[in-house]
Parts: sequence; structure tokens; C-alpha cells
Amino acid sequence: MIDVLSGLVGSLGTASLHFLNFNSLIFLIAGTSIGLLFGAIPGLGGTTALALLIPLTFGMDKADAIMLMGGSMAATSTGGSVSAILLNTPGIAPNAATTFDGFPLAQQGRAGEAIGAAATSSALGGLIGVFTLILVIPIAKEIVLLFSPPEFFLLAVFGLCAIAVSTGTRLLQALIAAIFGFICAFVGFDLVSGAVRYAYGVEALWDGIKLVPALIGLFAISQMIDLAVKGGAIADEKIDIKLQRMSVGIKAVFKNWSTMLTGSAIGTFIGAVPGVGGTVAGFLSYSTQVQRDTNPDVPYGKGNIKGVIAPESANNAKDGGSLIPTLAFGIPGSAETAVFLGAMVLHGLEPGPRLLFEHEDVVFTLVLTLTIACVIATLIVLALARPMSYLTKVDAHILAPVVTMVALVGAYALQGEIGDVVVAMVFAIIGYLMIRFQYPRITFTIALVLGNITERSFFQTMGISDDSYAIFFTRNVSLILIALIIISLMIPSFRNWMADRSARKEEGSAT
Amino acid sequence: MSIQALPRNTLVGGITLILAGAIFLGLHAQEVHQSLLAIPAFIGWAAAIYATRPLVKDENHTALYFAFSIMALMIVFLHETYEYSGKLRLFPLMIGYAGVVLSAFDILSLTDTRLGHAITRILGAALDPDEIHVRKVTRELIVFSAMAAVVLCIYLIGFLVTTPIFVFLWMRLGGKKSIKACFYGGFFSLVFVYLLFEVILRYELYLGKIPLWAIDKFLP
Repeated sequence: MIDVLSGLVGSLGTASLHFLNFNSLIFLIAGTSIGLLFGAIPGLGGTTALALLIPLTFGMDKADAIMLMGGSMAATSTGGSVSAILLNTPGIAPNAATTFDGFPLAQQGRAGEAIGAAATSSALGGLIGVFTLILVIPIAKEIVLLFSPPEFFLLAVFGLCAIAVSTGTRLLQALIAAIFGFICAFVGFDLVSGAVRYAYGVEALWDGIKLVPALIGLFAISQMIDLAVKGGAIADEKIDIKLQRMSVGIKAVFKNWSTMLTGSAIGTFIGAVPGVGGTVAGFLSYSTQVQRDTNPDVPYGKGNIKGVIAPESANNAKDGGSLIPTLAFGIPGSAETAVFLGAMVLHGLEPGPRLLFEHEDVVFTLVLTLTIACVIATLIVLALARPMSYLTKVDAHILAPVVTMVALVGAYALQGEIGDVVVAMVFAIIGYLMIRFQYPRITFTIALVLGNITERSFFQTMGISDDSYAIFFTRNVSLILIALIIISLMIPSFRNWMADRSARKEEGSAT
Repeated sequence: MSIQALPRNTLVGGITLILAGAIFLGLHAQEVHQSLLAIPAFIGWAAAIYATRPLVKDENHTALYFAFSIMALMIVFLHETYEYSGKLRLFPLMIGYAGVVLSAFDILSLTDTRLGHAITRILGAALDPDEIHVRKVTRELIVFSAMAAVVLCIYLIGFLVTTPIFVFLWMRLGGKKSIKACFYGGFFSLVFVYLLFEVILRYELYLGKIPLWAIDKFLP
């Protein structure tokens, strides 16, 4: 126990040193500001910000890259709350629940109060999520030791199934998107035999589909294509913005500390389940608050400040939670963490057991980054809420070409190959078609990122077992994972079947 | 649904699909060149779309074409996978077959039949109707063309020339902004890209085929 603690303190100390470097701090502040900006502008979002930032980190030190991207990841939810409160348009999906009471508060001329409460609960929720991550790291190390190739293979399958299920009404399409992601991951050198597959003589494909241009295309450019196709301004320009009494909102968070703590606990737990993400965390926290508060001073939906605190603390706390499966097992908990995982791989850091055991200082650099970024994001929002609110009115026709060009330059700059621009554009079109026909991009991305690791685990398993599939059914952890896969796939089908049955019964009784 | 109740197109398409499948198998048994196999395969694919179309609501037709494209991709992938041997194809084959089955379910889920409704309910495949109508195909084609043009321009004249032109034209033609606003948009995006990538990050941005040729030709 003492060894574990001294190891943790040592890694924490090494990680802290990065924060004494002026340049690193600048990267952290820049990342946080970019995250806030992309979070605040509806239609962009944190995944777009991360995809755009990857090429900028290429020449950077690992720690600086983590600070830039981690800062951005931690700040998007805080930024998204500004547009949710002022414009009734959530900057990103996890802020959707904030609009229920945030916008009515703004309509009553209490936008400052709502933003003060949102920013403060975001910071505190984020900090609670990060501290939970710190507490879980030693336990995660012990759990990871129970895993060998069959379990890692099944865990990857479980992660994909859980994420597919979390897409709600599009489970089938999420699974197809995952299959397509695997197909893309097979292109290039086979890790086991060294043979080249599916390259069709194109030399550029021998190393496989490059992750960074693909991610830039999938998330940054495809989003711009979608904005351009839909056209028009992002937000209604007639809305008048008044910001006063932020301190009242800050005090309200401390006054309603139990709401904030419950929201943070829900956010952390939901974040740790792969794929469920901040949107569910925000809504679940909001509905829990509504159910708990049986006799509210102000009805929910009419401008109750607790209706802002509950979802905001949850959607920021989920960041720490979602990093638990990402760092410990290499299974991303959300689209953002999937892109973040891609960036880590680019810097030679393979998330999973090796990261936990060999690069603990990197893990703690990320933990500290998230902690400090939460505070910086809140301070920036409190200080610059008014200018930020004007950014939410930027027209799509100004935004789309600029972001597209920056994304294309970023795709090229990584390796200086013009072919990467083509890859980015091809994946942008694929990404757009997935948006258009409602095939979730998250399962595609995760399968693309995890494809090689999953196939390698499968090969290793077959090697260990002399090509017998029985190995999956003779190990306790494997059996648990198989049960989880089956349950995760069965639950939505069962739920849909039950809902359908009750709907038919109601129809029958009505007629 | 009985055979008599099936729409005429579905029957014709179904028969054509079966014939195309038989021809494909016959040619495959004769070990003809692969490019020849593509003909009955394409005819079968087109016939399948023709057969399924009447069973799908009008607003879901584009989604149907997309689902069939995915199915075709999965089949091509499976076919390619059989070109490899032993362990090289083991995992891809599992994925490929799963893909074919799932994409078949995807196509069926779009049909306005009892089976289609059941798949939609149980597997969760409902299309959000609000998302279907917000995009127009002509506008999509214009945006895709603009994107293809920008890649071509980058290849020919490089990033630093393409950036201001692209931003200017997009703002002017797409956003109907004033010439002054478009000029500022183009100018500041060029300055931003140049400062960020060339000055701060020290990347050497691609100059373009034509400027590179000109430099090579005219500069000593």
C-alpha cells in the first residue's frame, strides 16, 4: 500500500513539474480557450476542436500535447453552457438539459446568475470527476492485471456494443458503422504476418489509413459540410443578451451543494460507462434533481437555478469518469476520448495497461491538466461571458470555409503529404453521409482506432488456445464479459419490445 | 404479404436478381475473369434496389440507396477477403459476414412491411424524420463539388493561394456577404493560416504544382 502511494506521489510530482514551465501553461490556456470557443459555438463541439488540434501537437513534447488537448476537452462543456443559457441552443449535446431552466432564467433577465451557477458547478463537477479518476487509478491497475488477450478482445467488443447501444434508436446502424470502422482498420500491414491487405497497390495505403487525417475529415470537415448544406445563421440574431449578478449564481452552487454533489456523482459514474456520455449524464442528473425536489421554490422548467446546477455539474464530471476506461483499457468512453486516444497513439502512448504501468506521469499530467483547465475555463467564462455570447451568433457561411481550410492544412502539415488532404476529404464525405443517414460516427471511429488492437488480441488468443474458441468460455473474466455483451445487446431490444407491446395494448384498449 | 400482393416492380426485380445470381454463380464456376463477374453482380444489385423500392416510403429512398451501397461494399470486402489465405483472413471474414447480415437487416428495416417494422422496433433502426428533410440533394452536390474543387486547387496552386480564394468565394456565393466582408474574411484567414502553421509551428506548407513548376522552370 505504501509502495502504491509513494508511486502515486512520485508520478504526481513529476507531472506537476510540467506546470512550472511557462510554455506548457500557455498551451494549457490556449487549449482551454479553444475548447470554450468550440463548445460555445453550436455545431462545432469538442470533438471538432480536438480533431483540429491533433496536427498542431505533432512537433510538441508529449506533456505539452496532452495539456493543449486535455485543456480543450475539459472546457467544451463549460463553453456549451453559455449558448444553452443565452440562446436556448446548447453549444454541444451534453448541455441540452441546461436549456430547460437556463434559458427561462435568461428570459427573466437573470442570465448572469445562470452563467455564474453553470460555470461554478461545471468547475466543481469537473474537479470531483478528476479526483474520482485519481482514486480509481490504483484499483484500475489491479483490475487490468486480470486481463489477457481473450479478455482484451472481448472488452473491445463489449465497448463497441455498449457504445452502439447508447446511440438509442440507431443500434443497427451503430453496429454497421463499427463494422465499417474495422474494415478501414484492416487496410495496410497486418500486424501479425506483416503482409499488406486491402491496399490495391496504392503505396500510401501500406501503412494503413492514417488516423489523424481520417479523424479531421470525420469530425471537423464533415461537420462543416453539414453546416454548409443546412446553411443559415447558427443562432437567432434578435436575442438580446444581458449579463448581471453572476456572483448570485456562484453563491447558489454552494448553497445547493447537495444538488451539485449528486450531479457530479451521476456524471462520474455515467462517464465511466463506455459510450453513454455527457448528454445522458446531464439529462439523468436533471431528472434526478426534479424527482428529489418534490416541493421546489420555483417550478422546474420555469427558471429554477438547481435545474442549471444539476446538469452542468454532471456533464463536466463525466470527463474524469470517461477517462477511466480510456486510460486503463484503451476503450474510449466517448467520441471526444476516441479522438484523444488517437492523439495519444500519435505521440507513441498506447492507452491501456502499459500506459498505466509505464507512463504513470503522463496519466497524472492529464489529471492535473483536467483539474486546472476546469478552473481556468470557469474563470474565463465568468470574465468573458459577454464577448463569448457574441461568438455564438457567427454565421455558418463565415465559419465553414475558415474551419475547413484550417482542417485541411492541419491534415497536410502532419506529414507533409498532399495525399493526406485527399484522405481527410474522403473521410469528410463519409462522415457527412453518416450524419445525413444517421449512422453514428462514434462506433466507426472507435472501431477504426481499436481495429488493430482487437485483431492482435484475437490472434494472440487463437495462438494461446491452438485455434480453439473454447478459451473464451473457460475463463471467469471472459465469461463475465460475454454475459455483459449479451446483456448490453439484449436490453434495448427487450426494452423496445416491451414498449411496443404496451403501445399495442393501449391501441387495443382504445379501439 | 402473399406473392400476388407484391408490387409488380418487386416481382420483376426479384426475378432479375435471381437470374443475375445464377449467371454470377455459373460464370464463377467457369473461372472467368473477375471483371466479367462484376456485370451480373451489378445487374443483381440494381435489380435488388428496383425490387425493394416500392416497399419503401418515398422519403426513405435515398436512405435505401445508401443502405444498398453499404451492402455492396460489404460484399466486395468479403470477396476481397477470400483472396487472402489462412489467418490473414480469419478476423476480416468474421467482420465481413457480420457486416453483410447487418446491412441486410438495415435494408429490410427501411421497408414498409411487417418484417421491416419488427426489425426497426427490436433492433432500433428508426430514422429521425426531422433530419431527413433539412438537406437538399442539389445543395449537397454543390457543397461536395466545392470541396472537390478546393482539394484540386490545393494540389495545383497550394494552400496560401487557395485559402483566401476559397473563403472569399464561399462567403460571397454561399453566404451572400458583401464584397468587403468577403475580402476581410479571405485576408484574415490567410494571415491566420500563415501565422499559425508557417511562423509559429514552422511547417512548410505545400506551394502547389504550378508554382513549384514555375519556380523550377524560371528561377535559377
